[in-house]
Amino acid sequence: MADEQGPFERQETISQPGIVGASWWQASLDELQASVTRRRAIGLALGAGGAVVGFGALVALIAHGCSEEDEPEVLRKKSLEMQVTYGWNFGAPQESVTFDGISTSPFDRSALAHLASDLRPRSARYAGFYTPTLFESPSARPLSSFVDEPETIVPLDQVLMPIFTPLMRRAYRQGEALASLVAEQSLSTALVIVDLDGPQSVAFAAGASQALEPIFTFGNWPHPRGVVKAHRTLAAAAYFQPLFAKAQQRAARPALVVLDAQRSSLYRDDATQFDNRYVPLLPTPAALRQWGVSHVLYVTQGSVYRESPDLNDVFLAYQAAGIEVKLVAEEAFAPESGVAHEVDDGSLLVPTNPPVRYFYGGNPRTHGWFWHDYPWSPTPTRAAVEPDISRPGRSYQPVADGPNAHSQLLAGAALGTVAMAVSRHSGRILGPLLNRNGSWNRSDGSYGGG
Amino acid sequence: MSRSLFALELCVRLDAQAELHRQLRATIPVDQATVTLGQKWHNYHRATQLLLYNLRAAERGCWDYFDDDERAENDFAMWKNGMTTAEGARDQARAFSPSEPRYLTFTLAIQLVRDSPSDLELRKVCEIPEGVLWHRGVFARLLQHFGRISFASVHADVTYLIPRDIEWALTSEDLAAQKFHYLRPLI
Repeated sequence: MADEQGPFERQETISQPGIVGASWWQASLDELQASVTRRRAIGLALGAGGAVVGFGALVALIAHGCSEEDEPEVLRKKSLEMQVTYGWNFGAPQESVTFDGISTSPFDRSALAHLASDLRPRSARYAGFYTPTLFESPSARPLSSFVDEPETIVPLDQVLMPIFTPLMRRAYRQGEALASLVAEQSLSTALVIVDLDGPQSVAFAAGASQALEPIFTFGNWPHPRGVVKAHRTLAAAAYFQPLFAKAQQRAARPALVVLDAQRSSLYRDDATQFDNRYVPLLPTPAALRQWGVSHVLYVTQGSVYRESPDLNDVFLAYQAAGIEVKLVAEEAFAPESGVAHEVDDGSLLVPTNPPVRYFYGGNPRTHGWFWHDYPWSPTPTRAAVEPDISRPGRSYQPVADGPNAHSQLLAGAALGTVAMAVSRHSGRILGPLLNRNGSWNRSDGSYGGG
Repeated sequence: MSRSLFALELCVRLDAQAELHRQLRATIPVDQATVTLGQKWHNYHRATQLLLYNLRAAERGCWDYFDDDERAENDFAMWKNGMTTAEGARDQARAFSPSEPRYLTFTLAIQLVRDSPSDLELRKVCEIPEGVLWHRGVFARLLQHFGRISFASVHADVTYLIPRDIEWALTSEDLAAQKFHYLRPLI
């Protein structure tokens, strides 16, 4: 990051024994203003690479389309709303997304048109909490374009490639292991929430779909500069689409809420980033009661033993409603160590024989101990050996966060918004800025303690 | 583009190790020609958190918020002059001894895009009843809020620390001078 050029330029510094300090200014804000008043086009560099993207449209409009009285203001608009209107990659149409781990399995691109319906929960009672947003993005087409400088938007279904990575394979096997436990006990009083990075969460859900019914909660669209790498989650969903479509034919199963752990990634108003974060919709305590759920199992990534800050309120509400919340780290499910395994490198879309299996505690003999750690099984459990792994999640219970935790996470920015230049005169959206500032509701006054 | 101004200065008594001084010094990147929005947020977040944790040792301070464009311009220049003229700095060293009270001052001033979301939010936070303006709790509230400021909406800023070298830390006598009367005792 040493070469990264920031928008704040140093103006003055002082470094004497008695004082040290510096003053800075952000030239781009002045340039924006100057472009309006001088009514001529200027190039404003975006981010480290200095690419002139997004601002180009704005500047051209300022130069050609605005009267002196019609100076633009900068308003924050919902990122998703803008993507739906102007295209998934608006503001950066020349930039592309990369799909590391492209699958070599046959892929029917036309099937993306029914991705959202293939991944919809079969049970009507779960459907209200299903968020199809991400899965609707491939077949969406822009509804409008920036009048003076339209962008060429290549639809996502023409660039999307399914991915299948080693981490997804592992997550799939872990999901399978949990599903085997749930199926063995016909457990119907639990809700599982999996909170891994998007592609792994999707794979976990695919592996668990034998016994659990996934409810996807991905409420964003990909963007080339997206702080949430939603295109990878989408690409993972595309890989497993045939499997999820098939799982819809199964009988009703307990619910598995599928979260993308990147949904509230750190975002600090960097002009090189597009804020496609979101707040997921989780089942309410009332809904869980209606479904007969009295236990929630939260599956975390690696050895994380607390909930994501944005879930704190939800988990406290579950707890207040008498619904027990426990946690298990995904790494608690592992293949048996010290034993030769079949090479696990085949497609997961066709059954392998025999499949590589993962177990709770990493051993077939410890697998059943899950029901000792989470004593929710309706029937007596078989004998098992206690696993020799760290399992703090079994004694986990949610505790109220301090007032600052979530605000620090969000770093002061409104979630999932993008700065747009809007004509003060006509209200017309002129173009994106891909940074944040605004100019509304003028008022005067001063406050102070000095 | 209209502007608003927020400024805050705290005068903090140093302890024997003067650890706070060293930590605050590290939040002012005087050697960097440019700073990203993320780094800017980080530096301010670190500095304000350090001040927050050491607020009990802060004896005097002041803060300002103006959303009048002209005042924001003039006052920002005034705060900046405080740095460039080194007005508050000592003109000679004096051995640092734990038995003698010594002080640092940390000053920050930011000029925001007026009516930007960060400005609107900050304006709300600065709506403090007159009677409690110099309460430590108010300074805590203001420092706490800094993590929520989007630096994309900050047009200019200045931060400075008096002293750079610990032997040049301010004394009680220094602070009694007329030029420091704007720093009011905290309650």
